[in-house]
Amino acid sequence: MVWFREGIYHLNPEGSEWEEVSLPGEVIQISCGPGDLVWAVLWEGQLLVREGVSRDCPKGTSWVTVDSPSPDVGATHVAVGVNVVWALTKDNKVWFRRGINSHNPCGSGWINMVGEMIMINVGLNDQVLAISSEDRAVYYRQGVTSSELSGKTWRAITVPRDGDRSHSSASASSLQSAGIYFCGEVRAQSAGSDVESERGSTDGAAGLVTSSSPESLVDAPTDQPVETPRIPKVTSDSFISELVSDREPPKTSREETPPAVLEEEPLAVEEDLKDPCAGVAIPPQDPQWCNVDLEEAQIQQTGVVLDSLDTCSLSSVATYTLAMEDPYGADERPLWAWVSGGGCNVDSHSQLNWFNSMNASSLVQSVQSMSLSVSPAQTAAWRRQIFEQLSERTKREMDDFRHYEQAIEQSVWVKKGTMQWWRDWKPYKWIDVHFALEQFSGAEGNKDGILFIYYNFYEEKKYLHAFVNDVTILVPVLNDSKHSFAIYTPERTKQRWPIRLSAATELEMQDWLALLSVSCCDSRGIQGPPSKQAAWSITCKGDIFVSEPSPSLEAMPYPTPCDQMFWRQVGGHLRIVECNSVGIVWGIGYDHTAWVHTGGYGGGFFQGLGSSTDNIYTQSDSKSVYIYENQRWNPVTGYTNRGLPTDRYMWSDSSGLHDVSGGADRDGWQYAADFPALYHGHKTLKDFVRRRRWARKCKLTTTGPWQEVPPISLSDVTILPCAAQISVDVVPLWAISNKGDVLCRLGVSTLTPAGSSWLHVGTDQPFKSISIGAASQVWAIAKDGSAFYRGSVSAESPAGDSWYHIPSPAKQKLKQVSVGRTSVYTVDENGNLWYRQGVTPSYPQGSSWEHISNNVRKVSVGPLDQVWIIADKVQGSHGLSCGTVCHRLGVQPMEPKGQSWDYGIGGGWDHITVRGNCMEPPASVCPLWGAWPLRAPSL
Amino acid sequence: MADDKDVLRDVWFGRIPTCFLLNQDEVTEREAEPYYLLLPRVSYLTLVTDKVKKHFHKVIRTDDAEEMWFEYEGTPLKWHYPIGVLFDLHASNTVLPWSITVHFKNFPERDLLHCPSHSVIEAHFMSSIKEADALKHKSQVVNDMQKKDHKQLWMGLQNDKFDQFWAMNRKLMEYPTEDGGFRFIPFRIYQHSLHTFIATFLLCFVPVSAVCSYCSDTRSLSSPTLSDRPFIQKQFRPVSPEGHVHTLGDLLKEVYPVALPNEGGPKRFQVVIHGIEPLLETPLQWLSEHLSHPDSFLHICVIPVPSD
Repeated sequence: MVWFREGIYHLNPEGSEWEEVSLPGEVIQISCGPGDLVWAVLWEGQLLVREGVSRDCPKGTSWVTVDSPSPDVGATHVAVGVNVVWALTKDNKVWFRRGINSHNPCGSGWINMVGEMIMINVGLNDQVLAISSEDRAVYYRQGVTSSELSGKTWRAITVPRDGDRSHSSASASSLQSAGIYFCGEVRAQSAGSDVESERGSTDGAAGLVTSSSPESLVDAPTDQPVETPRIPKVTSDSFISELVSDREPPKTSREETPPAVLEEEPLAVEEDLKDPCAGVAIPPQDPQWCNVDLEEAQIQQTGVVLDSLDTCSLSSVATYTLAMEDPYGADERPLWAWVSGGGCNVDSHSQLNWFNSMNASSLVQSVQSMSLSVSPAQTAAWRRQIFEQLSERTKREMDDFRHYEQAIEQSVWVKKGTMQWWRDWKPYKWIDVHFALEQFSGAEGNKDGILFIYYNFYEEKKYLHAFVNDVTILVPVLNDSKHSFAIYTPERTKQRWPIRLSAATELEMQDWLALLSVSCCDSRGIQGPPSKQAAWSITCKGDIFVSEPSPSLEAMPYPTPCDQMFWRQVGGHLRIVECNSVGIVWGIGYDHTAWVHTGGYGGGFFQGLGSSTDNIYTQSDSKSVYIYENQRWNPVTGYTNRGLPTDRYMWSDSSGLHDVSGGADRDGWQYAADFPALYHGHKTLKDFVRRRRWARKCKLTTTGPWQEVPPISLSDVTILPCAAQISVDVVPLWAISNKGDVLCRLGVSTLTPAGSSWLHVGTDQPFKSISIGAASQVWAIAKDGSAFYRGSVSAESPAGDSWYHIPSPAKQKLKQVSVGRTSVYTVDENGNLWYRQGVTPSYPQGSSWEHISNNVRKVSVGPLDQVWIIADKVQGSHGLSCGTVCHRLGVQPMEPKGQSWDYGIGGGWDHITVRGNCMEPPASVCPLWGAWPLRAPSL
Repeated sequence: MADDKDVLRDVWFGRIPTCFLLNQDEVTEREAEPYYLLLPRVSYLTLVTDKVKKHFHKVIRTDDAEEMWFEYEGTPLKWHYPIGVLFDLHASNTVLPWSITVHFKNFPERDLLHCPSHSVIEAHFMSSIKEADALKHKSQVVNDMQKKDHKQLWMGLQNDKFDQFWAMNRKLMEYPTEDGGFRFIPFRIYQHSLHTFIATFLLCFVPVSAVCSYCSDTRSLSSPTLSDRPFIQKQFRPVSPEGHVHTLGDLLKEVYPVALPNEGGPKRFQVVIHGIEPLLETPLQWLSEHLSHPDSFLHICVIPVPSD
């Protein structure tokens, strides 16, 4: 039933009476614009458009049916503005109606827009707000203007909730100024609807409701035994289950579905311009929940009225917010279900600061402090003078004249080229394509861009594209004499199937990579050197990548998904990199040379804008590659390269081979009775096979922000991970020399990251891996595969006093160890990951090894005890990958082993360190879930 | 501002607020309104004033209009100097916006080059880049570039695309690390017309050796406006044979000592680059990499200290 309210006019805003409007079907939702547009959604999935609405006839005259945008999937939601109609279908696709104008309220056709939404709403001047089906964040359509009503892109709004206010005043105030408020007063109401909320009497008010179905919330306490202390956790579980049910394909019963959240609408919102802080409701009838933070609750309770017992379900929302003080915090990210911006007047030219993330600002700060602390030359008087005078010049010549017209109009800049593309369909092969990068200035002056790959598919011209701000990493892949590189987006990381492109020359590839890299960094506002918190990783080719962690990277229970991390390349060539949170970074090359990070960025082929200038040095690295030439003796021709059918290839790799320890003759041959066997260096009568090893030494010279630390060659290094607030003057750094000696570096500090000298620490046998934890607990792995704990290491006694032998897990030889705040993890030679049980301050050696996972190549445990690994055999939707960065989920102080793995970039990765990231996940600050862009469809 | 990259941006995005006024003598059908524009310091007058031309064409009899040219306080403005250089040389320390008079008649043939189209500016711009690269890398870099790369530099300037321009320009700014800089620093020193007079006068009092350093181009001193090279340009290395890094002060001492203050004496001249006065101890190589104009030259203006 649709009813029309008669007699609404200025002096009688409540109108006089309801009048029924006849309908051709059953309407499930209706949207009335500020102008004359009225659209509704029918149960069957088609849409209705009201015709004949005018000032003289606000009720309109008749309905016209418009088909659902997609023939098989019905529409679920529609939102209209002055000149626009947006709709959602059951599969969460977003549609924009073309050709709408005052003469034609029906429009002419549907356009499928990027993004997947569960709820959409249009404001006073056609600005659009929506809630993404994927992360349930609130998105704003950027770039909606009267000439481009469909806008340009979705941008997440960072929305802290009431309870978060005191912790994030900055973003809160920006939101206030933007006119977004949280519904202070939440009241149970039975007939809330879009139409009603648009009735809002105050401009600049929009309402948001978190997705909290009354059922699940009321159920929560009853499902749970009363003695359980952590009600909030239960709530979060019900959130999860609800989320899961949301993502299921359309359910059987129509009444329950369209989209599941809409069902939960009884929690309607009244726009309210009260101080948002006043909006937290505390259930008076449930003392158990009140103990969360009574003091704060009372402050916030001012002016709250709970008017019925029904609100018990709502109050749990509020409690839940407060309960985030709990260190095991339940949900730390609001999952929005409803947004109403019907009264929200956003000028298309106004600069919005809803999107500013704390991440970015803290990044800038650390960048600045970094460049200042690292290179004193930066602060030379002449340089400072130039910086100061340039900003003075800007003030003098430009500040008062910003309203003047620019002489040169801005436009889109396109760079084009030809490349080869590893096509997406079978048989896979390289095909010629045209490649284009379109760059433009975003609405807020930030750069953005789109990549296009134009190809032919059976004579048909097609293209695929990727948004630059969606690209997570650019990986150079030099192989098969192809100068190729791979482009990943979160989607393609999941698939393990990047866009692979190949340029004609290496130079051309590097040009493109440098340009694309700058473009990606620009679109994400990343510039300058890596922050101290950055995660570092290395590919099996020795390329170095760095990623800035978002504050919610280690958040519980919804950390930033690993595949959304943005990695940028840093010049240089390394096998191992280790860092800590005060910005000390060391690396070890393939030739075992030790390097220390200079605090710069770029180098290699990143020149010009993508590179710092005064702390880039030449770096060389070398690696030996061995190949075996095998021969078999036969009576006719003697030793030849003609083997038996069962023999190995006559040129083989080193698999199953031992060192040339049995000696060799003058031509380098080793002899044996048969393959495989022990070889010896002189020929006897019984030797029917022989082999010799060919060595090839590869050397490369590049540049990067690395300075050599002579003279000792290293095989492993570890730096004390520091907690965020603690400043240490001298930072403990341990290493293993190429020969297996354990070394302790003296004089390492933020000002002298290279330290001054080595202190030798005696051992009974050579060692191969070492790690120091946040409490100076040093663990090491010996060549024989057993572990050792170093006792009494402290600031006074940096080298400790003695080694305690710790047996390896049964029948396993350990190869690598990493120690975080308290956790100790090791990896054995068969790829098993082990956790050390029973480690306590009084008994730091622990009691036993517990198996966590297999197919693990390397582990890095950080100062928050976060666990990251390089894993083998990760299955993607398009293929299997080896060497994948993975993040342990569910790691908590009481559950340091975590629960499951989240898969990130790879394969082809060899090393990762997260020991710089000591950023505690925001305890009650709204995680910046929205900082990531919406997925673009990967065609 | 914490990084040198920001200097590049500030240099590129420098703007001069300008008020264009039609010359009183032009015959108009109705009164001409002034036209206000933000001019990019690194661009060229005739490249960015199509809007100005269109604006004034509305009020003058178009069939009377000849080639447009600009004048400031009686001095015709050379379009082939970067706008920022023109401003620093003739109008620094004056009230903004910069008032430029627009002419459509009596083109001063003796003072200005004709600029019939943008392709003339492009040719001038590219020849500057080539000349600079000859000094910096014996033309190796610019010759290795393809036609489209040259186009990218030009389009970058024409369309005010910083990234597009620098994606290519960075190649022109490279040098072998062991060399410590370019072969020679491409620079041009401009003198205020009044200053030229003083410099000529002072010639009598400076040692002969110093005179030699710029007497190679004495024409510039005698008739600055008529000469095609009314600026000082010499070969100067960023690093001395002994390995000392040359500074802005070293350069001036060598090629234009008059600009430096006498010991104990008052400062008579300002040494201005992009509207700022870098300290004399600023390394020349750094200046060349960061404060050069898009045409790869470091344009240095020496102007008298304002009397007030």
